[in-house]
Amino acid sequence: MRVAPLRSFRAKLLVLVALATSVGVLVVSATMRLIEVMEVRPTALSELSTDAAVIATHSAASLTFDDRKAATETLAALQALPKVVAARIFDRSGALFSKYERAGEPLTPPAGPAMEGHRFEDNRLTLSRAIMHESDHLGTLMMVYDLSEYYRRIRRNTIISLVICVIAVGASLLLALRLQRGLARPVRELIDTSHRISQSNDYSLRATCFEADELGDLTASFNTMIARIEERDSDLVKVRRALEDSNEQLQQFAYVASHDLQEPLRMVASYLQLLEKRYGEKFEGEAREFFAFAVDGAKRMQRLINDLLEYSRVNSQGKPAARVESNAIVEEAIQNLSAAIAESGAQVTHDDLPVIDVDRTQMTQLFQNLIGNAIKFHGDDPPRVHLSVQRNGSNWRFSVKDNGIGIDRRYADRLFVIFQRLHDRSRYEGTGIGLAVCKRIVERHGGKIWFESEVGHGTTFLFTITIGNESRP
Amino acid sequence: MRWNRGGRPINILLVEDSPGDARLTQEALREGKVTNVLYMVRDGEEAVRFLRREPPYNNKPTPDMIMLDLNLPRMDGREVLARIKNDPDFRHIPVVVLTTSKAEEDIASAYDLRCNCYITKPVDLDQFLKIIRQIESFWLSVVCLPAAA
Repeated sequence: MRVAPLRSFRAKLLVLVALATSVGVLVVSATMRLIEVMEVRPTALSELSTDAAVIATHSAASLTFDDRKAATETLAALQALPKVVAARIFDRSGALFSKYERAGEPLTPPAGPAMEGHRFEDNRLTLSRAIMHESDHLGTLMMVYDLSEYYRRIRRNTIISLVICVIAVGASLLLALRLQRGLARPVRELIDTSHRISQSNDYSLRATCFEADELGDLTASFNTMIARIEERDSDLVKVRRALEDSNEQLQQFAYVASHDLQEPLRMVASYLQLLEKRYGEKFEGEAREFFAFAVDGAKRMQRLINDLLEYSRVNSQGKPAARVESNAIVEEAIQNLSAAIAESGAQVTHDDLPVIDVDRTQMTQLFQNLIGNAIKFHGDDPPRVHLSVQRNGSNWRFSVKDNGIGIDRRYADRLFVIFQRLHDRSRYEGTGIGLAVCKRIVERHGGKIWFESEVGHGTTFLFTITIGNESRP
Repeated sequence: MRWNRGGRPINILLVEDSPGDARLTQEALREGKVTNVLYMVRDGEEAVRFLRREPPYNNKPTPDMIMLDLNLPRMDGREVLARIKNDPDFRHIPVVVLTTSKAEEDIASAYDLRCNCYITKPVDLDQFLKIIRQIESFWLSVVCLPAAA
């Protein structure tokens, strides 16, 4: 996909150049034209004064000798000066002596002879000066200049300036277009490379450095960064593979060990028992006791191995989450515990429990373990167990409350550890794996499990389950 | 002891590699209600040879019931099961899988290969004896077995 941002980057560059050029050219032209405009009048005045001085000098003789013809001829020479539109000579008394009018020029006859001075009016400059001969004032010369020529010239210059401005901008744009490649190329290269890397996840790609300027600098550090990411990425991949391998090996080990350990155990336990059965009478009391210990040991070992297998299976054989009615699986757990419930006279109740996204088998096991414990660790009163739930932000918080013997908070950190028991086996049986399995199941579902208890006043086990998308109310 | 099958004893083939387990099974069946003759082989290949009456089993009868452990050396118990159940000559014989594993996947695969029932060997001797007697009682007294080929 061609990169949109670069087009506007190039556009920005070109606009910048065009603006800079036009501003430069326009400022210069405008200033020049302004100066020209301001100089029109002084220039005109100076030129006309010069011309008038010349004419005045040449007219002095004709005035002295009262030669109107000569005067007219002198004035007629003004034909050669296109700017002069009219001239008048007045004699000493102010009467018109001679005049000149350029053909085709509309002329409003100026009001009477002023002695000396000039006046700008309507694009015309009127100048009057005295005609003197030594200190004799012979008459007055009035000349009229047309200034249009000056303004025409200025207008022409302005147009030329504008044309030059356009050409200059065009030229500089072309130039810029050529030169901007040097700037845009490294930027485009960076953009392209980073796009390719993020799409293909190939961190071995690098951007080419073109110049040793700031952009080259940027490209170099970009490349360094990518190199570091590549390194870290390959490390991560290695570590993950190693972990996966190790994990798999451990699972296998646990499984095989547990399986293969069972058989010899059974041999030990079974044959000890068989011995006892067939030759039991031949042994005295002490020997029977020894037998009992030996057999008991073997049986316990078998249970431990089974529990270990069960514990490792939580993760290795967990199934993906699905919609499960908590009410249903709690009922199922209660059903599975029917013998223990009947035996202890327990009463197990529950509130209306929600639909959750979980592994059904494991969650049933979780409830069964917790309810089972609640029933098992009862005091003198028949056990009463109640399950309830509370919505806690994005979690369901389940509680299993009992009226049993309670748990000393000192042992809180040992409670969920595998095979840790808080009571001796003669009073409460069990290998101490139930809660470790519960913890693993809860944590596999991303939740937490803990308890609140006081010795002699019952226990409440609590755990959280994230509210799944399907079961959001 | 009652006699079944018109007076002849039941022939049971036990496929079990552990001599300890084999002996226990033997002891348990000895005390059973139905007269039975127990044949024992140590691995799957022997079992197949037994069924096919290949030497050295030329004169052996076709068993009325097979008790099969899944953890066997060389040919795995599952493969033996598959072979028995896919062979038109032997697939009618009820196969009682008697094995240590109680893993879901093992149970599922055994039934998938059409074993007739799956039993996990218990640790406790008394339980084991009880189960063997239950097997015998159910499969040999309650259940009607097909006539031997």
